[in-house]
Amino acid sequence: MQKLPLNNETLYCDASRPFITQDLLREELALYNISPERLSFLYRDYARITGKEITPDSRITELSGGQKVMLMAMLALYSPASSIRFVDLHISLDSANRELISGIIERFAVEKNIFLDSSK
Amino acid sequence: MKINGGRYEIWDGFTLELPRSLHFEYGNIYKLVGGNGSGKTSFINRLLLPALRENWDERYLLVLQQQMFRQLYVIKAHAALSKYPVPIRTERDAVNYMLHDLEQAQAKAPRPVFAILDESPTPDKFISALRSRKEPFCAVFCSHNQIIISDLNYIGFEKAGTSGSMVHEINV
Repeated sequence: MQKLPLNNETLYCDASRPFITQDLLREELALYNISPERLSFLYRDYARITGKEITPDSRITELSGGQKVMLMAMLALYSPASSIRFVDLHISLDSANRELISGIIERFAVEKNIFLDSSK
Repeated sequence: MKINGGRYEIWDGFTLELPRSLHFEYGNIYKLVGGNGSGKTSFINRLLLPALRENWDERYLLVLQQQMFRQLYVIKAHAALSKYPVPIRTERDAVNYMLHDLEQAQAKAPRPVFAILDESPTPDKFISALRSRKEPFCAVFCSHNQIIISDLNYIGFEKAGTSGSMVHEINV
């Protein structure tokens, strides 16, 4: 198998398992390398979209399934990853959130390679 | 099975309010309807499952959790201990195994089945399998995808700001 060069690595985000960790958001944040400035934009956008205020001390277990998927997607989009592959992104989202996340992805698509896949 | 009407504090600052008691009866299929964050999964985990765990041996309880990758490990372990010959890699494999386990358990001691499918990728498959069996069953499911299942009862979750939701039957 050919090894991809580092700059071609892709962040893989499967909506059926949105988080690696199971407790505080700060633990999940450690995986994404998001700058404090971009993080503050993420918190603001997330609260605007979901109505849910989050901080690093928020418990991710208290988010709904759809809110988890929205947060996973936004963590990926706000991260420095230049290439992101989303799998089954829409599966747990209601129609309003499907539309919202599509709009956000479109916004980030000018600076990142974003792929939408289905596991089916 | 009945969930009494009332106001239930689910999390600090999030409540579910049931203006009337909700009844879940064998022979019926219930779809929980509401947007993301309206409390459907919380209703299942905090109200429905604890009520079902009382007198748990009276029924076969079949639960498929939302974003069930952790449950998948448990199902894999159960399948391995049961010497199930097919490898379980995906949610669909797990669904097939759960239906197989249901078959085996009902052959030994038939009981009514109560199924809860929280954002399962295949609620229609489960429900058609349950419909083909002779034991009475009740199914509760939620899904944001277009799924065609006939004769549904609907329970609505209407958000009241971010502090909670009103939960009630919907007459269609």
